[in-house]
Amino acid sequence: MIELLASIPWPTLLVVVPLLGGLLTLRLPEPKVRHAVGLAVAATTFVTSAVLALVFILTPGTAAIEDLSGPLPLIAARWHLGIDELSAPFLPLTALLVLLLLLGAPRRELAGPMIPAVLLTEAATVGVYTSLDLGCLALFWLASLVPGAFALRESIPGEGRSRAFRAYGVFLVLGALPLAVAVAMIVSARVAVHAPLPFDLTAPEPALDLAAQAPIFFLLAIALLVRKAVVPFHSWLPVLAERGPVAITALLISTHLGAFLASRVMLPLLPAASAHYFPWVADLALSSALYGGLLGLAQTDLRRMLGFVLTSQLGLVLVGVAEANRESLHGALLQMLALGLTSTGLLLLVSQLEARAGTTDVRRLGGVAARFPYLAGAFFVLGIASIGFPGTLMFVSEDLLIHGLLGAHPIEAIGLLLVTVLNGITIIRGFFLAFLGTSRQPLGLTVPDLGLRERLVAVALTALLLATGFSPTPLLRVRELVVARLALEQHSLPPHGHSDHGHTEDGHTESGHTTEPR
Amino acid sequence: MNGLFETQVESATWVHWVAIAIPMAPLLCALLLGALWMLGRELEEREVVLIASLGVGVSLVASFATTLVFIARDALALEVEFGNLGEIEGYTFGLSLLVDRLSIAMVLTTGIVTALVTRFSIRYLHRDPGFLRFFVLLCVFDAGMQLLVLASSYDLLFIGWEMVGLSSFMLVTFFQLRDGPVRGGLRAFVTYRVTDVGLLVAGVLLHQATGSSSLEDAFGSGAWPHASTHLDAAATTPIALAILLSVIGKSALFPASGWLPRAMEGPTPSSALFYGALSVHAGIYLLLRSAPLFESTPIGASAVLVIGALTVLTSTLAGRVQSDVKSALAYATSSQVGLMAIVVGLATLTGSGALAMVVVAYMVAHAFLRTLQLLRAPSALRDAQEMAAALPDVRPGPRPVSYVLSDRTRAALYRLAHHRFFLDEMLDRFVVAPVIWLAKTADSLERRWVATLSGFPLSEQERPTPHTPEASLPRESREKVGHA
Repeated sequence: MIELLASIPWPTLLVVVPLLGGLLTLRLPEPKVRHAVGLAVAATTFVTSAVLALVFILTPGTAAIEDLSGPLPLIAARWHLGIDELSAPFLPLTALLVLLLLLGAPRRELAGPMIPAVLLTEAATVGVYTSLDLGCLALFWLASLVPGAFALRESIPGEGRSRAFRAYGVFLVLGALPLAVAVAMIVSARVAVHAPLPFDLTAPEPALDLAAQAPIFFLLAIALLVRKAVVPFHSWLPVLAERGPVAITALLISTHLGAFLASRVMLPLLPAASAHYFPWVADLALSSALYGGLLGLAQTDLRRMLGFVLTSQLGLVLVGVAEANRESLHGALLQMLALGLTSTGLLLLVSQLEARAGTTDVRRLGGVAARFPYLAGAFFVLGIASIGFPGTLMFVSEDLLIHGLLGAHPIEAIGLLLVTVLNGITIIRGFFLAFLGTSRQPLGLTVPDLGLRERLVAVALTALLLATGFSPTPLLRVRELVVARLALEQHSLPPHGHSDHGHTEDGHTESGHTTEPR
Repeated sequence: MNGLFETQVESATWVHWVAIAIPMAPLLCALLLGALWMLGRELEEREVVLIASLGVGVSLVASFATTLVFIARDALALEVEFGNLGEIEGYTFGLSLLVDRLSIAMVLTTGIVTALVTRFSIRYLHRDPGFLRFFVLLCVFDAGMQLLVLASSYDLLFIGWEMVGLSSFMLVTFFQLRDGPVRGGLRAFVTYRVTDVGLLVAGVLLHQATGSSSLEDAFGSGAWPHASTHLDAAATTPIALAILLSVIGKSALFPASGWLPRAMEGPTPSSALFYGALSVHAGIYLLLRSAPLFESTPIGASAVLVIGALTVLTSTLAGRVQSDVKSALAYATSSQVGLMAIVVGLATLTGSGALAMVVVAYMVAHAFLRTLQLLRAPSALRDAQEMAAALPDVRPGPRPVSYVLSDRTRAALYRLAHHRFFLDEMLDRFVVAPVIWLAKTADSLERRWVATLSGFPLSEQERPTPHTPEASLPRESREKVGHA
């Protein structure tokens, strides 16, 4: 098994298969053929990545599965992809979400260039996850935004097109450029100390002092905050959720490249700046989560409402990553998986509702459950899973997040609870207003409820959330090493890094004390 | 686990599996019913009843078996461990059940009442379009309630607590085509969601104080009701007050009692189960379970006493002016639960274990009485007529209140009672309205900012839909039929 693994360039294959699939489907004119080919490519990618991740997870101590080319002349960047503890669970998750999106999205959401765009975004996203070279990572990061922009341009009719494009463009270009500049700064700093491979992510960190790390950290932080839709860089997300194509929105939200950037680049390469400034990022993310939770309450359109709830939940993920202690990191990494599943499911269901009722405005809906019971049932189950109902993965991840916060920052832990309360009220209120009560607008008589295929997507998502919610330990165990590495780097720092924000070394030790095994 | 706690740990024996079956059997049946439905199986009423009765029945039999074992072992407490929900170094979400004198009484009550109500509902809901939904929620409730009373840690108790809450507000909205039940359900849900934070905060604070949220670590020295905590009042007062907050929500105590009469919009059997027998008593159970905490903090114990007294006062007056039997019963329940809270407050203030035992007996008796009354409520008019026909000469007795209070005072009291002391209006005005105002203001600022940035219109303009659904979907429907 291991020999087989070694002989084939698996990570490259995971990027190339959806890439070729995307380019191929771009050439296919017939929508049905295009859909079928798209599904086949997505299924192949999913099966391959799931098998790879399982092999990786079930054989502890496996070295990372890597592909490596020689360094490029002049810049010494390498084609260096690999699957490690951090990326392993994300690969099948992304591939699964793509597969479910292609299976479950209403047909008009997959019209035009959408299927190629989804596959190309998948290729680039897998590229970001597996990159072990800064150059590759930055390129894939940029590439992950491009297909979405084109798809968005094609999918929105009329005047809204250029506006949505602008809203998306402003924020995501803002999120990509700082990354490129930051990579250039890291590389030049390494070249200055004559590092042999300045782009290598697996190399030991460059010996930079805090002053040199700070500007790089800020640039990366902007990329991260934009990608995680943290206030004040959040506005693209509600707009995209309300008006954009559902498949692209779901992929951008549920792949968590922002938090991934933090755990892949910022925490390992810039430990001093991370220790110094991440507490501020955590506070910003928590305020963003509160803001999103509050605005969700004011919405009358289910899609926009979902946009704010997702803004809020992405904020919570970032709180966990930025807090960077063992429990919060575990919680954030689990929350990324849970949020990926629930957000994709809810976005799909809302778009299915829109395809059937012509609107997602709760003031015009009402009583949908009587007409479309399957749609209502699926929305309810995924809705309560998304707000951390016990027995689902989201509950475990939120519990870990709270435990991670409470040691050093009890006030922030309470803030986090408040966010979950607000989001819960928003989702259930949305469900009640749209699906129950008297019908305010007649629904077409010939319109069918969810078909078997769409129901299978909902059942698959629910089953995954329940299975991982009842036994999250295997998932936690995979991450044990990487979390220990990231969290320990925080701990080993001199206390001055923490002091000016009330995050003293004592605070961290305290959190260690409070969490002794029961 | 240790000598002081006098607990026998059960693992991998048959007792272990029987105890686990108490919450798990109904839960599995609920999941089975839900999955069968979602996958397109047309379930007949007979099949639904079979699966649901299996879950509730197995749970009931397992409760009796566990009780017998508990009595036969002559133990003060049995602990049943079954795995965990997540384990990393320094953190374990352990799952274990605690069988002691308090939980066993509640387990039996829950099992018996749920089984009775299940039997009653088969007829009552015959040919209702929501037949399946009702029994799924009933099973979720049974599982949640049993988990709640058997939990050996606050974390696990919270899981049961949430399952009870979920089935509760979904059953309030059972008749989902009318707006009344939906409003009532939303009110119940929001009340639960906000007050449940108390239980989470309590778990978190307890974890901080003792390094664990298990009951054993919090009150290590003796089985219920003789347990006591080693924490001091400074640590326990906030925990106790946080617990009281969630009790107020779940047991409809003052000032959050407004959702209870509205919850009577649900079908009668579920009203009996939740708001007569079990769900309203979950708060009292939690108070009893946390009695050692309240014993160590006079502030917490007095708060329970005061809240109980206010509940009794407002509910008994409001109940007297209700015109329908279910609302009157709801307020009667609420005032009885208030009385129980008073007794719990006294028991914890005096540290009297005997008084705590009295509350358990009170709770069980009240649960059975209220179940009977609520199940009988649909025939209330008939019952009243029969009584009037049998005893035509009975006149209302003398009313001592009229000698004490002036007519004006009584009229004012009547008005207050009729408006339920304006409690809901005050909550709406001073809690809900400011939050909504803040949200709306922030939303309009957000829209302004996006408009500046991208040129989207300020107002919520209709999104242009590429085509009308009616025109496009028949084609899709043909395709879907093919897929199905």
